[in-house]
Amino acid sequence: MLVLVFDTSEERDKFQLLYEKYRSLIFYILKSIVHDSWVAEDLTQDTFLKLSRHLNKIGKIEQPETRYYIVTIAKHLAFDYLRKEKNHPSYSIENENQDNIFTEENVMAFCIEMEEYDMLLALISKLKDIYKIPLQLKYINGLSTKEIAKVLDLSPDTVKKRITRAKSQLQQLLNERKVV
Amino acid sequence: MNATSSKTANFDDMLRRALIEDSKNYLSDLPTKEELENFHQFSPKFIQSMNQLFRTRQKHKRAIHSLVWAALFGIILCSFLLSQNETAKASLSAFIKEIFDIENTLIPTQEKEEPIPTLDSTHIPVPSFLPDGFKKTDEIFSESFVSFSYQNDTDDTIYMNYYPLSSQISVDNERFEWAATTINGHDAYFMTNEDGMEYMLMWRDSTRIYSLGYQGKSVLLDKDTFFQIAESIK
Repeated sequence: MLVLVFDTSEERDKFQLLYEKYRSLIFYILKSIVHDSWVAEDLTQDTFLKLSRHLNKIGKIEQPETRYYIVTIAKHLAFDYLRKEKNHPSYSIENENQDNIFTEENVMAFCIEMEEYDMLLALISKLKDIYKIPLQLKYINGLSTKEIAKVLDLSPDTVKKRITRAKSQLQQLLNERKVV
Repeated sequence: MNATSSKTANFDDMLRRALIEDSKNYLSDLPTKEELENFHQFSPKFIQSMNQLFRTRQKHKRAIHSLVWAALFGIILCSFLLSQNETAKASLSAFIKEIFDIENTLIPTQEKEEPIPTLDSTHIPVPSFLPDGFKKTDEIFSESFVSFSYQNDTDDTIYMNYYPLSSQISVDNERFEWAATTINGHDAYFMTNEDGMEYMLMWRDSTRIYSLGYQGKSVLLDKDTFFQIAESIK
């Protein structure tokens, strides 16, 4: 139990390095989503608070995975803020049980002619954030369902459902392409 | 590996590559590091909050440090009072060793000292006037600034920040209305956000930059009183 509360000096140094290196990037991403400097500053602080609670999920400060992880957390907090404030369409949970997991209605139309990998990439670029973020944490950062649930403040069941749903739809669309 | 699991592994691998490339694409569209640095100057309030966060984490650490030593002392005391039972003694000593190992692992003996302020904090002038009910609640000494916070019973806050002359301070002008004024003969900017019950005054002399702020929770402070605080900083 003590270990959970404690900071080692290495952790503190790591946290300070993260702060120095990523605060401007985090702020920029948040501002570009919420369009308000003051809210973006508050969310920047929330992002660092969140990161401080999950420091063990972060490897080397400079490595790309760390950058992706931090950006993913920041975007999640921004979309979560918008969802609470304005019900942002990309992050709305109201429509979670509807069929479309993409930000556009007919995603097949623009990628049907592509090669398999390019099509997957195109589909991912159109994936709603509530699906994309858990996938990123799982496949880029190697987090387990439970870990993702903790980081995103969701239940493990919800995380599992979103990952499974996104994967199965992506796979289904790739298969449809093969049939065509 | 059968055909189904091989297919799944292939898809997972392709999915991983695509997710990484999608993230790379997103980041490649962002401004350069230099542009990001210049995109926004964080507000004094933000810097203050972040410094408090660092301090809070250190405080937690110190508190737990004391707790561990208190627990250790208690256990040693118990061991003297306990019976002669050898098994109990053995498990107690193992537990003491475990606690001691945690302590040594998590609390390095050569802990970093607080950063040395670049401002001469011993000669920083503090307000000699404060409205009734305000008491100092916090002080922060960091490499880039020194800050004092004062609060009253209703959590209205006055904060006084000091920065080296080389600092670049910016204020969100979408939120504040501002006007030029003087404080103790020095050019100053007075910023107000009456909806948010905020005031800010910034000025500089030959030694440092000053930023006096007020953040009301219950009432907006009288403007003359706010200026009186600023004028009392000599």
